[in-house]
Amino acid sequence: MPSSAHSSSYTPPLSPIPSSPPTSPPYNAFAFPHETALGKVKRLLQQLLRITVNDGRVFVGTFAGTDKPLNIVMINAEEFRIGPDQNPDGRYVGQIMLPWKIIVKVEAAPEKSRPSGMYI
Amino acid sequence: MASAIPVECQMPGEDYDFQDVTELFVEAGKEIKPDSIVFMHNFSLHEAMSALEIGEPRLDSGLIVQEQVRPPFDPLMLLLPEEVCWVLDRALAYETEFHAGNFLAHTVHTLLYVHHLHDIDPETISPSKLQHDDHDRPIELVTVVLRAAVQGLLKCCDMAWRELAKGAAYDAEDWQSDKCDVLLLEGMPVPFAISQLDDAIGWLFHAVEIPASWRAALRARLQLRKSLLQVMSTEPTKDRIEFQRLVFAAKEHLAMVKASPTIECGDDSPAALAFDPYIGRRLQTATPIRVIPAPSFEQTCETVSRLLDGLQEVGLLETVSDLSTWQIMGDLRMWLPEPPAQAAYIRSLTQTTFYDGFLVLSKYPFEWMVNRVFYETIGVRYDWIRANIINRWTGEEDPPLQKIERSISKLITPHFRALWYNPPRRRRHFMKALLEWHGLYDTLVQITDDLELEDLPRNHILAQLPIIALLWRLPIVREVVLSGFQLELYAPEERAFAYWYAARVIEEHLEYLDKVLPVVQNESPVYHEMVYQTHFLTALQTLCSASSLISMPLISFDWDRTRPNFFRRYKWAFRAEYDAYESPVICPPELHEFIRICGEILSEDDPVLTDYVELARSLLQGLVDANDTGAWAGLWASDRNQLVQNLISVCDNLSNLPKTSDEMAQFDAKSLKWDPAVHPWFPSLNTDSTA
Repeated sequence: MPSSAHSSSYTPPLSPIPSSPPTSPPYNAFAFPHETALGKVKRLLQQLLRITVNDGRVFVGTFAGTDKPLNIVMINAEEFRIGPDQNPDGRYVGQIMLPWKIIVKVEAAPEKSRPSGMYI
Repeated sequence: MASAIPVECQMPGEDYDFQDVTELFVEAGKEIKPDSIVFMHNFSLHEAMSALEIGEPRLDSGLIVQEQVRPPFDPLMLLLPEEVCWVLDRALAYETEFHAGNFLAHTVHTLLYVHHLHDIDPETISPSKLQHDDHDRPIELVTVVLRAAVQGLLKCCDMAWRELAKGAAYDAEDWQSDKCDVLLLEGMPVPFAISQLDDAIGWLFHAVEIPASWRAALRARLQLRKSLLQVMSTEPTKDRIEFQRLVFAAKEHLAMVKASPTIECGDDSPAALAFDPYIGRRLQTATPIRVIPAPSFEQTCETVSRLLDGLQEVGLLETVSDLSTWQIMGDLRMWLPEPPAQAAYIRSLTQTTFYDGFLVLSKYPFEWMVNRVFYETIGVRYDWIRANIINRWTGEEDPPLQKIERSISKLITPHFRALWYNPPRRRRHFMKALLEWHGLYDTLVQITDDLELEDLPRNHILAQLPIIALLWRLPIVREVVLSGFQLELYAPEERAFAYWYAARVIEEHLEYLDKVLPVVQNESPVYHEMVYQTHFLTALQTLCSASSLISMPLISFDWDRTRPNFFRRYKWAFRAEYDAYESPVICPPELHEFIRICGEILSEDDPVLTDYVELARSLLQGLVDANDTGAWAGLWASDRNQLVQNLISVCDNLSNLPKTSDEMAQFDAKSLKWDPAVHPWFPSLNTDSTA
């Protein structure tokens, strides 16, 4: 994963909806080896996704749903542009739908991997 | 694509242990059945429908298409004085577009210096960047002149935003409040912004390396900005003289700006990079980007001039304590095509000048307003009426005086503020308020019924108290009906009824004026205004009657369609709440009565329409010849005269209507044209087609 090589202090102010408890246990790519891919994707619902699209933008938000053509719906999403002159704080874009055709990479953050903090 | 991301840049969410699940999604996609969807708990397709589609140019405000890629902006790039002038003029042009109701993200925020004020602050930039050898392009033009002007611009927007946010103008209707998280220098005191402008003007005075003509041009623009900021930060009710002086100063500075037009900068000029119409993609906004072309220099000057005219008018209105003058002025601005409707900022300022939430005109209490309402309606103060009601009261309980006062407090200030709403909202407000006006009428009827009046003449003012409410309510009904033409609401087949109903309302209004005229003191302003109203309304009623008759051929007489259309159009008159009052509504819209009248007209000889038009014209011409503009028009007498002149023009145009029954039979009603730009209420006749 290219991004893992970079040092960072930024934590997106995003979290799954606190009022509704997750319906599935935290995602772990190595757990449930015999579970179907669809089952594993369902476990990602309400979890944080980081999606890179083909114009270089990165969206971080809560995974809300998908369909057969893999249009991905995210809520509470923020848009980031990666570059020296870009705004590191991102831009809140709310509820978005990303068609699979523009998606370059999808990344998921297992819940237990999240940094502990005052508001998390 | 990840490899395209520069190594030195951080990915967001580095503290999370993100794992690549792209392949997992690909596999899952194969397993998802066609037409099925996977959503989290409490999330449905309905919610998903409101998601913005990324990659779709119309919805994705962050999408950069290849044609929009531009070189990076350097806020410290050196500019020629003419280029700075051009930037300032273009920024002013975008400011006028903000006042016209557009988003800041599409107008003022497109000026990139707005987002780089810190980068051009001479206090914070490194000395090496301040050193240069280009005498044609002194860096102070950017760090001193441009920076002060941009600060002044933002502060002006801040002052406008504060005024517009007071509630008199409606967000997303009259203006757009979204600041996109960009500061409008809310924390900067106005005197500091003005001192920055003064410093810039002072620097220009000594900048001999700049050609004199451009120094003058830049100075004029800075002075205009300074006076605009001073006007917008001065409340007309707090410092009347200073406000008016500043408006005149701003007008003088605008004239100086007009005298020194700028040179258009081409796309190859570095100044062209100072504006990015697609800045919205980097701002905190979900609004789709709309590229608004900047108005020309001449258009901008014209718009600013109109804005200053509006401010001047507010300053003049503030000196007027006659409610009727405010009413006349508000109506004239709606009814006359010139000057065009003012920006939301001016309309909001007018409203807050009239009533700031505590006092009328910042000095009069509620009691003054009630007295004024009664005095200007029938020439008697409320205090006198109140005392007489108490003295002559025969009812078992106390007279419902508080009910009257409560009704008036609920009606009057919103009524005057509504005169400066945008036209559709103004009409809606009047429609809703009619119920409360009827409530006031009902209360006054009840009071009159319980008064001992036997020792008084039958037409004594105490016996006619309910008419006071009607003298307010009936003009509002008339305005609701006639403004429907101005807003182009009516279908062709609705027009005949609307004119007929307006004529009936005016007839009723005239009857009540006739009743109270004998009890009003002769030669008083109230009497003078009533006599003027009598002439004006008679002419208007005659024109409405004529217009109704000529529109009758447009009626379809399809009852199944006409009836539901009628009840939908006049729903404000058929609200269930009216049933709570004992008194019947005066002059409600009655379709069956109209149908009966239509039947009578069809069975009789056609009336001679030109007689109606000639009568209206002679009445209106009488007002013009006598130079009669009523008692309360004040400084707007010429505007009121213009309203009459416009109606005379309508009469002149309609004088070509059929003069005989035979001509009427051959008349094609489709030759009538309703164009609010020609006249807000009445049609014009295409004379070629009637020949």
